[in-house]
Amino acid sequence: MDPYIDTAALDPGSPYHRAKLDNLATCDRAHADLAERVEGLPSKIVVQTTDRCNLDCVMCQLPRGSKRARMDWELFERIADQLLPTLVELHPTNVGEPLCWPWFDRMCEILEHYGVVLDLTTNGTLLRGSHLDHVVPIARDVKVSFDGATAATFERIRRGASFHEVCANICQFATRLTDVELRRPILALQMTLMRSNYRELPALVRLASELGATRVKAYHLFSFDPALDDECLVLDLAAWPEVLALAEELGRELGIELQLAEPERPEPTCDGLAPVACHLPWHESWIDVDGAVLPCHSHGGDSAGSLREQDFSAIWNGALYRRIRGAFRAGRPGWHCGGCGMNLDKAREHDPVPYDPESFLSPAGRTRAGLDEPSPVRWSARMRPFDLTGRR
Amino acid sequence: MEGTSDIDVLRARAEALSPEEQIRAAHALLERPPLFDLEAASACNLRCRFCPREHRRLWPPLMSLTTFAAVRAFMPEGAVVMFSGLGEPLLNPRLETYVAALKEDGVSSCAITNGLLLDEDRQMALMDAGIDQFQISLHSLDPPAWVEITGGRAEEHRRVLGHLDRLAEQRRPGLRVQVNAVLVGQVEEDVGELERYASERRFDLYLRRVHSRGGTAAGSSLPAGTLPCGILASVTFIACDGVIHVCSNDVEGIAVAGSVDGLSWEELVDWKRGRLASAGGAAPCSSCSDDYRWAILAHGSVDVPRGA
Repeated sequence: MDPYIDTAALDPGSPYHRAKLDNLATCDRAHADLAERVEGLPSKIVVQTTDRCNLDCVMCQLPRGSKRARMDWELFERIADQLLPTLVELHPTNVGEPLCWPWFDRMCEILEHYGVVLDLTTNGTLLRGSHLDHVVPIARDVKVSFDGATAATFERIRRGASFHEVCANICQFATRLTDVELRRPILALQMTLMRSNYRELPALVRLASELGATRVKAYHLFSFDPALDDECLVLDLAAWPEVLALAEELGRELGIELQLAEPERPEPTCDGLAPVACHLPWHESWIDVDGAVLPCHSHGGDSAGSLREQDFSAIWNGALYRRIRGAFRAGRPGWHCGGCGMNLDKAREHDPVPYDPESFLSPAGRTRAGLDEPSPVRWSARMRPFDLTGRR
Repeated sequence: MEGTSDIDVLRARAEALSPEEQIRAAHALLERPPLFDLEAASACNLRCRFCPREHRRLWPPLMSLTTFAAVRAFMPEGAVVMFSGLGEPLLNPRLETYVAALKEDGVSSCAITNGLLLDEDRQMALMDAGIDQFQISLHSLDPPAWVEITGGRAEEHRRVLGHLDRLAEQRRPGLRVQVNAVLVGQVEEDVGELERYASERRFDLYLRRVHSRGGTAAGSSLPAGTLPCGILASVTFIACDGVIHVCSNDVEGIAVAGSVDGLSWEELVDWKRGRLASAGGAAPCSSCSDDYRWAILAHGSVDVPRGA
């Protein structure tokens, strides 16, 4: 069972509804059996439609000049034919700004036709006008990146964005979402926690409530630039529990759901964390701008195949996917799965977890901090951004 | 059940043929205009109790433009197409495009549908594209019976009946419409109702006994056979991904001739000849109890007398 796939959000009147449920049940069985071959297709995909973005945020893994690649429409149509009839949820790019893709609205129309719901991460600057007409009917989980509760902090980090304009867009979007009765779409403000902004988290919870959002998410910065390593909070998490507690209290008071970085365990043990087999190889897949199919966001440059050369079903049950699933079946997760936090589960949200600080730093920062030895558990892998290794 | 006698007679006639005569009859069928069973969609919006879909291996849910282009290039002259397989063809939004392309090639096409998506707009679009026949798998006019057979909801049954009424009204000259029913325990009155219903709307009625679907479906008491298969000789099943299987009941993909982009029509006919010589001997054919494998063989054509 994939906790991130919400079939209750699907329209039971869609002609594709039964095909989606049947497909998910097939994949659930294959996951329970740890089968190497899966006779169903993924229920969720992340499609890197574009690297382009209209902002230049300080922590972006792509330098401004290199945000060029985008998927062509023909490739997306191939994905649609092969996956959308049985797909539950699609997440367009989390590398660039999805609304900068010229075919974003057309994609939404196709998703609506096939009864697929939308998981959207956006900077919110373009979430207005006719885009709303396309997003509202299919929105399931919309996350607006929002890195400060004040205009000064927000605009310093999210270079090129206007705090007040994005707030206005969110307000308008939240109002439109209240008309959606079938699903209960989630509207979240999402913060990247840095030394220079994390104390604004409680204020962000209040702002979320004022704007009509329903959730706040906040996770630690992954630094891709040595100049930004000092912004990483994970090197000293002593002050984090206090801010977390304040945010939790405010969230309870205002009815805002919180998904926040966990406090750190005093000792890096896994006691109390339940071992599980990661569901991703049976339920989800990533497709890059060039059609490369990746089994995980943390793929290390290993593609399972290209949709320009093969059908998805052949890739999905091809050598790499079978090797990954087979390793789980043998009880020895291989590939990049060994030590991954996706193979552990907490009992409750915000329970303390073991941290792997080296994973959050740039390679130079890692060496500088004397953290060249990897931690036994990479809890950070549960929220890592899409890996750009191996891109041509 | 009324209407079974023709099929039983044909089956008995096929079984009375000597092995050499059976092979000759099958080879004669190979010379006739070939009928293609194209799977425009392998996904379905109902869960009929006699359908072997749950045993199916992974196939893409829809036939893509690229695969369809390869199918089109593969088909010999004189081909006739039914869009069927194990999925609901109207789930493919390009079905009209495919029908129109076939029309351009002079190929007659038919869609076998459960009728849920055959609303007025879709009827018009498919008629505009040049479709020659609709077959609607209705099974029963009795809502509880339909729900039990198809796994659908009563309101969906009403929707199908509404679509059929509209089709009866706006049907164009020359368009054939047939109502299909697989007999899975409907009482005789139900069948009588279906006959009246079809007759009032000038639809044909086609009754079919439930069979073992190559050994994967329960509910058939018909014995499996060991003769060359008339269906294999007459019909070429092409799945959504362009793979040619012995028939749509090869859900586990164990009897595959090849793919439309790697096989010629002549090579496929050779493969069929080889397979026909031992069609009763290997799975899934060895477990198949489909009446029509014998009926087509004995009749010498897919146009066997109607009525299970």
